[in-house]
Amino acid sequence: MNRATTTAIVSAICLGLLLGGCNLFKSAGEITLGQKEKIPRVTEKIDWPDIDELTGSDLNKQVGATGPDGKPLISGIPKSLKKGTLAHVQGLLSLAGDCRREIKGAITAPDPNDPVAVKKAESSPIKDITINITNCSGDARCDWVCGDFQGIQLSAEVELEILSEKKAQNLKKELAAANPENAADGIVQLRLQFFKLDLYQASEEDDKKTEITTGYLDTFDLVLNDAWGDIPNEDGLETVVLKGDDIQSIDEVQGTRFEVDPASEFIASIKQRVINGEATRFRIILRLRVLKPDLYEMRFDGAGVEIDAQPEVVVSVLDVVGL
Amino acid sequence: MNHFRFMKRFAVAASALLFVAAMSTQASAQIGASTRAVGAQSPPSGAPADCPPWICKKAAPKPKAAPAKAAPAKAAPAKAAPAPTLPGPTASIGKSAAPEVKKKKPKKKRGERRFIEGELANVGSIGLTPWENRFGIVMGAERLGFIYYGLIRPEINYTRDLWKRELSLSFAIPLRLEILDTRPERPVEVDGKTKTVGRFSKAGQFRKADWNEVTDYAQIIRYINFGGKEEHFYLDINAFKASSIGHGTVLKRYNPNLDLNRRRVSFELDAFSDYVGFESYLNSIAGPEILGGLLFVKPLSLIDRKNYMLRSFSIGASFAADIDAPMRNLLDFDDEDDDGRHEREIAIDQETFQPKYLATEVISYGLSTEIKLVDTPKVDWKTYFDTSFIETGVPTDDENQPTWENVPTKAIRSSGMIWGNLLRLNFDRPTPESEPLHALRIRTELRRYDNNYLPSYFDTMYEVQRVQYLTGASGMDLANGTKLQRVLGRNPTSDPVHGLYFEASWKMGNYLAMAFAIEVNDREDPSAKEGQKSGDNNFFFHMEIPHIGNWQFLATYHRRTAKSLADMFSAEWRDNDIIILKTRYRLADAIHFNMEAITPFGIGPDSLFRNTINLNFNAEFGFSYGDRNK
Repeated sequence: MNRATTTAIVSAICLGLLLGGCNLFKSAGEITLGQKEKIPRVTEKIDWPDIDELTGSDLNKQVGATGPDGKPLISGIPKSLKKGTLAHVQGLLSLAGDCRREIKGAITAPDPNDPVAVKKAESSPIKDITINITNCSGDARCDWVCGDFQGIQLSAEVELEILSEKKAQNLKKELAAANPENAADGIVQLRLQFFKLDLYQASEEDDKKTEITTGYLDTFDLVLNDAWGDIPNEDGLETVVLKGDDIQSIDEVQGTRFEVDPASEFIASIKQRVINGEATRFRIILRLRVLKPDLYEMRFDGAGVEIDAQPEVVVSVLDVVGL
Repeated sequence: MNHFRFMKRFAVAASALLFVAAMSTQASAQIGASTRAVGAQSPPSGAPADCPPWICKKAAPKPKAAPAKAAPAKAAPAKAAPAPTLPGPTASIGKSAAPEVKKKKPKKKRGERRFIEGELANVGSIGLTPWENRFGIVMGAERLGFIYYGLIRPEINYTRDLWKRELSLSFAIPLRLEILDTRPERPVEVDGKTKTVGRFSKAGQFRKADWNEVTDYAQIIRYINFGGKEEHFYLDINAFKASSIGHGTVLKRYNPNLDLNRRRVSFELDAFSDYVGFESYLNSIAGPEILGGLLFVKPLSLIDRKNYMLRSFSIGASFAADIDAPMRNLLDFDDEDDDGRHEREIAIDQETFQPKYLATEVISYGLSTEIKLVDTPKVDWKTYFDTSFIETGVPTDDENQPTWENVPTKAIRSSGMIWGNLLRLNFDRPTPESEPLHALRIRTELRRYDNNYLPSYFDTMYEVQRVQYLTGASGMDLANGTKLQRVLGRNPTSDPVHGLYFEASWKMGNYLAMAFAIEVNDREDPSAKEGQKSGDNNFFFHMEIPHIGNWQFLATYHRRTAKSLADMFSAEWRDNDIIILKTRYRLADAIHFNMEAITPFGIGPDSLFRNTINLNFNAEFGFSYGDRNK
């Protein structure tokens, strides 16, 4: 065998070895970035806001108030709404002539004298919470939300940051250095691993205990929305991650993963932000509906939603480097 | 130590096989001079007489030199033989006086001159057959589902002539050592305790699932092959070849191993005489799911079996079935692979990496007739007419809200007819007894069939398309995208479909084989939703170099279910394209290299069949043995 033949064979073998390993590396290169990589876990108990705050001061003045004659100003309304049900809330909103109310910044500010609480709040991925309540009782002003639905729609919007600007800039540099044209393809999947997602309310027998009320829901959607900060929610791109039936499948110990639709425009938008090196925030919107007959079963005070989820980003190293 | 013991045992087994082979060689020598049988897999032994000088570097073996001493002259006969008589009135005297000198026309014995009739190329095969008798240990990497393994595969193959036909055997013991599990970290229950399993938790462990059932031992067989397709006798037990029944009207080039994650050993047995014959097929000897058969009679042979037209006229009944045909795929609602995709993917068994589905049966039956129009030493032309039916049950519930239990179905029966011609040419035969250098095979078919029928329903890609009827379009319905629903569930009242099929293959000795085929039809289905539209137009090209020097090569490209002619030849890569490219190079007797670029569809991380090109490279260390390699 002459030198040229030997060289050709050795070159072919080297090429073969390179190519042969390619597929192995492709799957091996799919890395899940999660808790270990310091993508913050979202563990939050979102209490519904104070009923008085929700229904508004104008109405509160009337609740339980009595006229000069000593009789209640509004007959049939209890003196306190602390034990009131969603049916009462609906009634109050109707009385106030409102079909929708929004409470921004529902996140409780930490005690400035408690350094641990302050540090926890600073490191929390949750930047903002907004609660919306919509009274779906045929009011034409809220048809765009309710459609034919009759009952109450509640939504809690949590603004979440999974990559700070600093982290995003670092990632941008790495992506740009590897292969800027294929960088978006390098992000294979965005998913949430849920350990808990429950709707609760204070137990009727014991205020300190809670009971799960998920069973009373007509519909439940957990939606991701790319609108955050000053961008109005309605303009954002949305994608549904899980629905009410999926809540039952969540395993508190092992966690249950839910992928964000890879074909959604939301994902395309998020990928673009990562590539641009922008802080990556999005809103998790919990949108639930309770039908009119079930409104009496659900109380507002002491109720809320508990969420425990770990966002994960699956990155294909091979795609990033353009192999 | 264990490995050493294993090697020792294997060497003993190999020796035993060699001994059996040697004994049978002796037996064969007593039967008579062996002729070299030729098949697509049969490599030349030495330099055959028909080897063209521009290919063969080796000179044909020289005849042995004349013995130094002349053989002793035989004793003179008691009576001298009379001189040859001249024709004429006295001829009868001479004839009666010397009957032993009569110039008889030599009777042609079966096997003396072989007309190559069967497939000329291994279209659809996903493996190479070594050209020499060899023992070796293959070392490389392999992926099954989500898991990568290091592969160690001791294998031995042996080929010899037996009763004027070729017998080929090959056995291997695949041993897989886990390297990497690409699934995310997940908790699993082991002995009642929850344990977190990571990517490398089982690294270095042997894959127990390979050998934990009796049926697993079938994978030891790579192939056992005797005779050839369309010859009087054919036995093929094989782990990588594609198979057909009859004219391929219902089952054509079906390969049970196109699914990367499943290895099956198929079985085919054919035999025929001048009066009767049969073909039979099982896609797995360990647990068949797809089976086929053809039984035919040649009634006119009873009138005159010397007349080729009468002898060749046959009437046959064919049968093929998938007794586990996926009707509806189960979706991964419980996220069994823990990747969060849920109903966006098919549920996959996490042990076998096979899709889960609701199954029913697809049964096909039909009649076939054929007759030879020309039968000369160079040309063989036969024409045939096949009619067949396919029966099954398709779901009647709403596709958008499918049910998963007690699925309501309606019975479906569709039919098709084919008129075909098969022309086979053998030419450039150096001597009347030798193999032809060139063989050409051309098949044409004219088809007419129902809208919900498909010729060659069990085809090259059936193993994948039975689960996912890939059409190259987006928006595939994962649950209802089975071939059963997408083909047999079509509107039966639509206009009948007309189609054409053309296939040509050419083989030059054992040095080159090429084939291509094109299959088109005029089906239009405007009511089909996007993602369900399929033209059912197919095309393939195949090239094969069974053995030149130290090199062996095989390449096949298929484009399936193209919408139009333009789509068929567009350069864009489709999700239903198949590429099989395999090559083998002998660097030295002790070391061979195998490289393959192949798209067998394996369930990947997204739990769908994907035709991602798999590039594999492995080395085989071993040695050749026997006189076949000289």
